[in-house]
Amino acid sequence: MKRKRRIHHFGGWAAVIILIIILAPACATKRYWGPTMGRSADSQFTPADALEKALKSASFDRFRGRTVWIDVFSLTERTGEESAEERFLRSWLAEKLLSQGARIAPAKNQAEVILDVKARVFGVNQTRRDFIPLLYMEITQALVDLHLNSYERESGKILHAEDLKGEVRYREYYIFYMIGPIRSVK
Amino acid sequence: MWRPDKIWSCFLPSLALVLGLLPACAHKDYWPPDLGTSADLQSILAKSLEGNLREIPFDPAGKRVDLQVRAWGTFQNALGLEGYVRSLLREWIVSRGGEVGSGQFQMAVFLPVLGHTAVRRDLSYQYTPIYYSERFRATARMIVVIKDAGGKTVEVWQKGEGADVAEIFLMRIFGPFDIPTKK
Repeated sequence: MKRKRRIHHFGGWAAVIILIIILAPACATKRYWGPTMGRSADSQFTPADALEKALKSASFDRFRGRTVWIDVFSLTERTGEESAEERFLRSWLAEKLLSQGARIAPAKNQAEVILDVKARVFGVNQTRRDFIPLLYMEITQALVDLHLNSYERESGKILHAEDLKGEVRYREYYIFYMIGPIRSVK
Repeated sequence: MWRPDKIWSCFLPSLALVLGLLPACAHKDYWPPDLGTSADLQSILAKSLEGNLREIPFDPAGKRVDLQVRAWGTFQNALGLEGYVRSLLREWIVSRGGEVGSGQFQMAVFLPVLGHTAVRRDLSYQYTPIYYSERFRATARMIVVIKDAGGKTVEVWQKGEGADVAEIFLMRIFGPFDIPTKK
């Protein structure tokens, strides 16, 4: 009688343990993509520096005293009419022109000169290098390749054309995948 | 006074608790920051568009051309691409002595394809990476329809010009080395 009760007791425990073992690998997961972190800081400061390098050699003195309208075109992604890169480039160039004595037209039809800027490239490439287990490196290479054309608005004639290029490389090293980052900007 | 049996009775549940907690994991969920449209991609798309322009069999010298560009393609919307191509063509027309505006000729430019493909190649031996390459190929197809003021089609021209960029890395550390590609 006692033995029968013990077997019954053991059987109950075994059933519980089997149930736990079956349920243990189960997994409920609510599916979410995590919120985005936006555009990385590395991919913002490197093109901005590359743009500054590209514009270093440029002189907008020829626009001194003239009213200029800036059009910027690029092959970057957008949701509206103008991409973030184009808006940034247009504002940056407007500041450069103003600082060199040009005036920015409030509307295209009020401009004397139309500065047409094609950004063939305004972006970054990202390269990762691994030399396991000694070294890990991330390289952000920003490239700016602009083609500038200035047109006389009235006649539509090209007044001047030039290409401006700039490049910045930002490296981060991690030694033994632990020590770092050791940074360098060129 | 702590008795060994009491220590033992405390130690075992504590150990079980620690072991139970070890595989626990708190993790804040974020997508890594993005980098925007890559410089390589912009570069090959710009090159393939410029390559297409070189061969348009129409001399705009002394002509007034009404320019229209229609595209769809690789970006979230086509406005930027259309603006870029319009600007390229405007420069092309004006630099050859023509004018842009409504008048004698209408130039309708269609870009049914402007996109890219990327191919990655890996060669490794027993989990040791030996060779890795990335190849981008842009494809641009341009159709140009030129009509006169009466609406009669003067010229229909199409061209599919691609551009390539390829890089290889050895042992996942040396490189990138440019691979010569078809122009």
